[in-house]
Amino acid sequence: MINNKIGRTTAIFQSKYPAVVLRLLIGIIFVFSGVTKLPMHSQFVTIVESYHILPQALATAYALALPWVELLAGSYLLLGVQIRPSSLVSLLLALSFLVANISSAVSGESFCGSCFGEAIILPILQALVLDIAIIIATVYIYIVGRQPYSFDSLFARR
Amino acid sequence: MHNWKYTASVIMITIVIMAIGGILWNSGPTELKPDTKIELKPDSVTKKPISWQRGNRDAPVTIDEYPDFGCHICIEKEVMVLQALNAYPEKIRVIHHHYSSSGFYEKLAESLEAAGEQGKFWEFHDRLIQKVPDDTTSLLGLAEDLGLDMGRFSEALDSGKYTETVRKSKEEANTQGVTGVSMFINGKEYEKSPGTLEDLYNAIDNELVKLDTNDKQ
Repeated sequence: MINNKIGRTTAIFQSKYPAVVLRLLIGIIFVFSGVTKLPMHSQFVTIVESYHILPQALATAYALALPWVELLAGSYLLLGVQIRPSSLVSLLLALSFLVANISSAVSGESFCGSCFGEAIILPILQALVLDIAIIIATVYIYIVGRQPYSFDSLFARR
Repeated sequence: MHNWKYTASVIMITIVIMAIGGILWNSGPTELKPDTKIELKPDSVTKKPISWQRGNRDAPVTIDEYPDFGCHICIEKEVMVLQALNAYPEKIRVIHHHYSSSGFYEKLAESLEAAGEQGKFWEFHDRLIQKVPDDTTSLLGLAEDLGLDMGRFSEALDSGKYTETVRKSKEEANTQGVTGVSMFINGKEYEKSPGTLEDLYNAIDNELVKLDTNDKQ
């Protein structure tokens, strides 16, 4: 029975297709998130600063860099370029979102108004669930590593 | 895999992504200036049972705002409405409904009522949205700066005098179908969140044009 379970778990990690689907999903989420934040400029800086988690200079740098990093990491995941480093960056981003959303939830905030720029306002609980799901998915993508239907696999075959 | 063709392709992809990012960055809105000093007529302040309003009472455009002070987007909308009030002094009326989430943000809504008790609801509101206090000390500091009677103010907050008012306002909003962070222009939901100042001006202009056309017909 235990062997069966181990066998099934190994099979999940050996089959790369769930990882492909997850990679595409996470890629779409990050691209969307970056695209919605990019036009916000200083509005987004103000939003990040108001969390009072980072010192002001660091908060400004984080807010200015975040949409670009999201767009790049998301696009890389979507296309399958440098999958492991991209999933690692996505994991770090998701961890930072989780910290921000926990801090919002603790201070009584009911919505994450900045998760997807101006496009979607998520209830804080949904935002937390999404963060955790992204963290699990990015860890899984990292473990699986190289995948079919990716830019990297195209070059690996040549 | 790490041959020069791969590296060149990755660089090309990165350049294309950055170029797309650059286009999106440039499509950004006009910057908000939350520090803009706005003078409003204090005599335009009136209070309904659980809402406050200002602007021209007979204005053709009514903006109903339901801000949650714990929501950054709501605060940005509030700042934009403040700017719109200045830009359309005779054309719009703003009605404030409490819609703050529980905890400290509910206290912020109560503090507005406590300031309103001393005739300074909107003055306190406008200072509060410039920089939302994140603890009781800064909230009290804000009230003190405004010259409020601190004894009365603290008493109102500590006794929970306005807790019921604030909760009732939210309950009433919920029964009307308000789901949070909402704003309505002449009864229609303003869907930008927060959108830009231009978006808000356009929405107001559209309402004015619509009303003008209806009048002519």
